[in-house]
Amino acid sequence: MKALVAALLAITMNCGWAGLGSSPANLGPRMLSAQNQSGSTGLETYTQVEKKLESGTVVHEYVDAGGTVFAVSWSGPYLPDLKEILGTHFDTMVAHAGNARRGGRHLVVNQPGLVIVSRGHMGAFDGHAWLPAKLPAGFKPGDIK
Amino acid sequence: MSGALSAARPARLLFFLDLLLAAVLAGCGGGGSGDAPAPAPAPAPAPAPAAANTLAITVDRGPDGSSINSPFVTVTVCAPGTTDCRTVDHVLVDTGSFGLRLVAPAVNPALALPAVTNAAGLQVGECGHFASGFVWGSVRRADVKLAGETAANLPIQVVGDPAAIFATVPRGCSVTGANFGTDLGANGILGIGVFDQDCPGCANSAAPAVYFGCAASGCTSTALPLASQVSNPVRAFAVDNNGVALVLPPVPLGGVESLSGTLIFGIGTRSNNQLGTATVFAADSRGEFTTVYKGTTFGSSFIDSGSNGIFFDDATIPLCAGFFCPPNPLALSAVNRSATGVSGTVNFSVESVQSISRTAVAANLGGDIGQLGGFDWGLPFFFGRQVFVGISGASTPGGNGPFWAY
Repeated sequence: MKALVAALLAITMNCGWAGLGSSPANLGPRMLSAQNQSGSTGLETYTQVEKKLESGTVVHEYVDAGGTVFAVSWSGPYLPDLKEILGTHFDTMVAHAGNARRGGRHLVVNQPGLVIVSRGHMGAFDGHAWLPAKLPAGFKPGDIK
Repeated sequence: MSGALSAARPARLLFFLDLLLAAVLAGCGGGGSGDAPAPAPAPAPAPAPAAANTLAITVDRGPDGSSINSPFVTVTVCAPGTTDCRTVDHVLVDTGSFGLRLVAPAVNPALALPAVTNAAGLQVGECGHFASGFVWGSVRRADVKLAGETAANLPIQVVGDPAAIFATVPRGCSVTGANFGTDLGANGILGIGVFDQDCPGCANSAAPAVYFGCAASGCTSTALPLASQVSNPVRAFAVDNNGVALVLPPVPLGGVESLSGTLIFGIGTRSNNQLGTATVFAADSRGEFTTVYKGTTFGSSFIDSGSNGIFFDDATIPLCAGFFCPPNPLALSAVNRSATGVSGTVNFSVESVQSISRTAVAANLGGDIGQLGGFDWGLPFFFGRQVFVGISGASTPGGNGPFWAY
């Protein structure tokens, strides 16, 4: 039993979850292009990945030198696969949607360890999320495109 | 930014829970006594015979008693070409979406509405996207009657359609956010914003994952021609089809316990919908414009009767669970600027969500939109204004849509 749990845990940790806090998201065949651009805060380097989706929506991921996604953003006419992009933090976003059901135009999660903002209206959505504790030294949330 | 957040939040949360609790209790009463805040003004005896292009707006606590700043109308839907109709009250007037969505339980007893099918002949389901979640249901055709206007054989969304084929939300939908189910705080959403269809990108592609072809084995995303998509009913009217105007009276500080207004169809098509002195603000391809506030220029601003406050980013105003709660009412101003350079000042006020009457149906509330910025000019923007919504591609005396005018 213990071995089974350990095995399941290993699977979950190794390949079950991508996205924020883990490895870059796999957005599947609907992704038209992915372009990497290196960035630097002056103190640390990171990689910015721009993923253009067939739907017209654009996703950005910010990956640290160790390969961990510390920030993401999305913008476009249709919502992308936020479960893949936010990874384990998707559930937190869903849990915070209750208060926003009226109109449902925006959602703000502002916790010490996690910030998620999703805003917009039918036809035009924008969002971003980041892990404050995992930002490279000198990286500011305003640096997220 | 974050400093202002924490202290006040628990109090507001409790207040919010109180509201919810009150709502739940009122809802349990089964619509008998005590769930109407103030003697309900009978909607029937309208001032003078209502014109064929006007629909009464009622701002009240909504079907579950928990709404605030939510403008509702009553719509009639019929099986196409028949007199078999249902009247659905408390449908939210929403300038931030496109098309009519009704929750299945509100169309009671159920109407036999024909299903829309895709090119493969599969019944079509829809994932209606909202920033914080989605509504899932079928796409069916109905004659939609609003006041004296009819949108014949119009595709609408039936949210929570009980048909077995729509029972499971497909993964492509569930990964976009929370499932609102049929718990919308309304019996439906009347999307009458600046565009016609809700998924232009679906016309030639399944990629948006908004429409789905459904079979017994499940639903997979599909392309769907514009003519089959859930669409703005106004554009489908025979007349008065170039836009709408919303008219609401001013709301004083402290809020009000009842509020009525008018939804007028058409712009410049009759004596009751002339633009007059209203300024036209052209909207961009997203249906948006620019707002300048306290020296900062925000793109991505929009006017949204479906938002229950004016939402923007101002770290200097205390927050109570997402709504502003300044110690004293704030008199604020901003400048809206269209893509074509037309600009005008908007004066508005924001008072604390904690200072309004517990039975208020409307008040000058605002809230945090997060650091992405932009202005979501929600219902309080409409107080004391006549706001026109010009639909994309439609011709009006003020030019072609998309535009906002006020």
